[in-house]
Amino acid sequence: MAEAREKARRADRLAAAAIAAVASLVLVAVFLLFLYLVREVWPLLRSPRIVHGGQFEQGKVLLARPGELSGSLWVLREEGTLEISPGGQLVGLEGVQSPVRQALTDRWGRWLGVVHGAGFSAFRLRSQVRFQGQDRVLELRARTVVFGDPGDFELLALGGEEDPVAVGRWGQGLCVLKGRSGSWEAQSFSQPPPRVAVVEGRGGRAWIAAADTLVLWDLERGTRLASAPLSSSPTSITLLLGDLTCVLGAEDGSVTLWEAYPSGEGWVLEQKGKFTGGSPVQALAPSPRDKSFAILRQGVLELANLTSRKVAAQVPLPQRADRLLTFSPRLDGLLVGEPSGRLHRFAVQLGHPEVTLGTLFGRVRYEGYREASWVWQSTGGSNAFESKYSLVPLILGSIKGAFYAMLFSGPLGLLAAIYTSQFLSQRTRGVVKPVVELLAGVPSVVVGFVAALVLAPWVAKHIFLILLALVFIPLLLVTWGVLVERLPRPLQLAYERRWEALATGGLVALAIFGSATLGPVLEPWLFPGGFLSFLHDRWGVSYDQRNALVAGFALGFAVLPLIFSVAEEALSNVPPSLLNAALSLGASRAKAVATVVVPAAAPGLLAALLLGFGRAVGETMIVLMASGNTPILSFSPFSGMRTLSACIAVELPEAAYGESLYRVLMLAALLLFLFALAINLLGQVVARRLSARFGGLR
Amino acid sequence: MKGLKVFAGLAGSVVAGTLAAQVVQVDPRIPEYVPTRQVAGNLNSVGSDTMNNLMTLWAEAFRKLHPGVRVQVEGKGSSTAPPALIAGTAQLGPMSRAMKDSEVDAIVAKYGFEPTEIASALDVLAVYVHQDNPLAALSLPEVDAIFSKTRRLGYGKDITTWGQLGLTGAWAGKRISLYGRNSASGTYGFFKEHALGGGDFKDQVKEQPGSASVVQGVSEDLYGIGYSGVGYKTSGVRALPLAKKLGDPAYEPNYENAITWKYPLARYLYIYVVQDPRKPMDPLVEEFLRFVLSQQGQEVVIKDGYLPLPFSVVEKELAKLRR
Repeated sequence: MAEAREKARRADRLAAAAIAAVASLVLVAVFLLFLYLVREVWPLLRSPRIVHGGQFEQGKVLLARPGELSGSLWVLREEGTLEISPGGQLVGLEGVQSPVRQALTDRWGRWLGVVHGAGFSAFRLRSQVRFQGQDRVLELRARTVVFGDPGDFELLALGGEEDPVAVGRWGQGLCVLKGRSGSWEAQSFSQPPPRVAVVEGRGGRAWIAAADTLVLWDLERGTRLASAPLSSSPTSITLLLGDLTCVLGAEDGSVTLWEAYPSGEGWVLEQKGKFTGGSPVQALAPSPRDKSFAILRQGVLELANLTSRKVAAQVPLPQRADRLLTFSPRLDGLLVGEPSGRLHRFAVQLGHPEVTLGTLFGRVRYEGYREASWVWQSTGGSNAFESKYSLVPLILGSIKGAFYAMLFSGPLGLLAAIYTSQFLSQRTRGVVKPVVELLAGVPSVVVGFVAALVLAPWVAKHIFLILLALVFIPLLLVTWGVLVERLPRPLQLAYERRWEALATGGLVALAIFGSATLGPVLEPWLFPGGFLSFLHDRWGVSYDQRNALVAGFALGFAVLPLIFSVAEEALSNVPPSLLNAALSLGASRAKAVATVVVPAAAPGLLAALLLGFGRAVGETMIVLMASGNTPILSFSPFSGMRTLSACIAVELPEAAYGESLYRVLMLAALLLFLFALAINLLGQVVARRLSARFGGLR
Repeated sequence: MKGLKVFAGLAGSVVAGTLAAQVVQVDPRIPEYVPTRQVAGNLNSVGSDTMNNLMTLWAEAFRKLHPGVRVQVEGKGSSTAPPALIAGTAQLGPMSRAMKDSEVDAIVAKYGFEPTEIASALDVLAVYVHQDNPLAALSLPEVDAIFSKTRRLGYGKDITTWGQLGLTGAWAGKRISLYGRNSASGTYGFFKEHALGGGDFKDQVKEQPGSASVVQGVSEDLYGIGYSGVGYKTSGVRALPLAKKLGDPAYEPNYENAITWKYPLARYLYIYVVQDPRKPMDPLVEEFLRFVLSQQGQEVVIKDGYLPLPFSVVEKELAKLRR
């Protein structure tokens, strides 16, 4: 006897040890998952790195630009020669007579304009990385495209796609060269004279700043499209990648962001952002790959970002470095020059300047938007796209989906659990419970698929009937219940024993049949244009086929077994002595359940709801298919949503490892993880309180 | 992600290639593929899911001629191609859009030269409406105003109802219901660049995880409109003729209009390879690409519901291989 007991005890200990080991392994795995997510999100917090990569003397140069090959660059000397470094290879500029008075490139280094002894020449620059044996060298070609002699003038800006467009100051007015004819056209620009200018990539328009005004100028017609007053005198101007945002640097140290919006027949200029700084702005350079730009002030170089409206990094500079600020074409370096010809090279690692707490959770005024808003739209067709990473619509979408799922499955699950555990016979209960739990085994892909392709179109067609049925069913059931209460006691008991289930089912069927027959008659009578049109015209509610109602229903279908199961468990665990005591004191069964059993099991019921909510928030496939994935800011049941989980599933395959989108999606995953953890912990704590409460009663 | 594939697969099986019904023929001037040498070994392809079927069909046909070749095709999205080319896990990177500058940068940073871009087939994006929709045609600025909140193409007003497009009667007051692809696809990026002028989609566009499910969505939604490859067309939807500008003539999305670029939403499907300009091309890759650009290869394109390349393009692409 004692031996057998000892054996059992040993087995117990062994099992306990094994379970503890597995449990701690699970904990370790969860913790590692958490660490992994944190590691992937962490780089979002790092600021960009600019490192001084050395300085070198080039002698007196008019122009210098970094080349395609990292570490390479070319310079333009006063004698009118282009020199490539390293290597020292010279590229002749046809027709240029020494000395060169002025030279400019467009923002991306595709056009070179030179004002020299004989006049003005524009060149098409093509740079290429070539192999010379095993070494890579920068090759540069400059093809003369146009030559003209405009006389005494100052070149302000270059641009154009196929043909060059040059803008210069001619006395007090503007002179513009378009195409390859070589003739300059005078365009009258009212007082004061233009100071700085930048030409849009396509060459049709230019942004021109005079001492006190900023002007959007139509180069084709030579007219002013729009203008805005300036508070400080401009020193530098540029357009960010995509040509939508104009950045203007001023003498008072401010950098302002401008955008042109169509307004009626014309355009208006609006200032949509401002950076302040201590010393005058000397130069600006747009990034060739995103919406970042560099600001050069006396003694400091700053990297700023349009989306976050923040200066992400700063580095000190020699006081005299005040010109030739350019990004390298592949965004890995930056070049700054001193008047003496000394050049400074910086290595740049931009990181994720567009992702900040402000852009993730706050309202941002994006390019093309008239007001700040929360927007999720991560990907575009080119680098000129301004990524929009607001998590707010996604978080709202997750909550919305889970809310509508709970609206359907919460009451149904709890009531079903109460009915099953307290009112059904032991035998029926033995059938109902496993069947409901079997529902949990239906793959969510299938549920989502059916919801999206069968349910959604059907609901859209019959929405009025469904709403009607939702009114009829409870109405009919409650009325019937009141009637049954009036029956004599023996009849009532017989009814409850034999006919209740059948009658309830019949009533529900009757309600559905009633709304199906009444609906088509009532709808045209009540709403002549159709119910959905009425909704839209009267309340501005738009109905989308893939909406929260459908997705919530499908999602509720998926979480219903969980809620039912946990709640039923909690109710069944209420000690029968409590119920019996209430019954023996004369309470009806319904009364005893409502006042004794349900309050006693309340923590368990709450835990069921919490766990259901947690599961609904994390569920992916159903919402992915049935919700439409629309990242909108609306809680309407008739519109769709995009949840965090569905968004991760849809976009993660597209996100290249390490880019901003990838890290933001990892952040979304981290948020989901933390949320699920919190909900589950809360559920556990609540459930534990239940067992603590009745620990002594059994 | 498995579920996504199942979904796309299920929806795809409902749809039959209807483009095959149109008589599209490969230009007879395109050379037949004749194997000049026997090649063997492993050929890995990682990239576009749009081109997944196409790559598999090419691979099967190619293996008949070169039994010693094993081809593995993985299609998870165009953006997966550049990382695979960089890591060297794939020799072929099929993409349904051109590489972005930043992706080219990454390849240059690793190899020191730019990737070689080979156009392999022609695809036409169609704007679909429900088959009972009476709308005759659209112009790109109108498409922009329907799908976009930024309206870069210059249409003055937002379009939200069918009445604003000139439909009358019961249609006039009905709201337009928008369907589109998810941002993981090259289709999404191409449409954004060319139909929205680089602007933003409305938040109300219902993003579908597969090309077929966009068509499915529109065919089940009387007031729906969506964009997807023309190869996914079903009898439940109608592909609208499109015009480049307001007032221009609209063109049907068919082969003739695609190769003359009259229809504004035609695009190439590319295969990218990393080819060191100092070295001859890997014979396995070269033979495969020659096969793709041959009479037989282009017939496979038609079989899969896409459009074959015109002769002039094939010539140009073949020249890239000979370089």
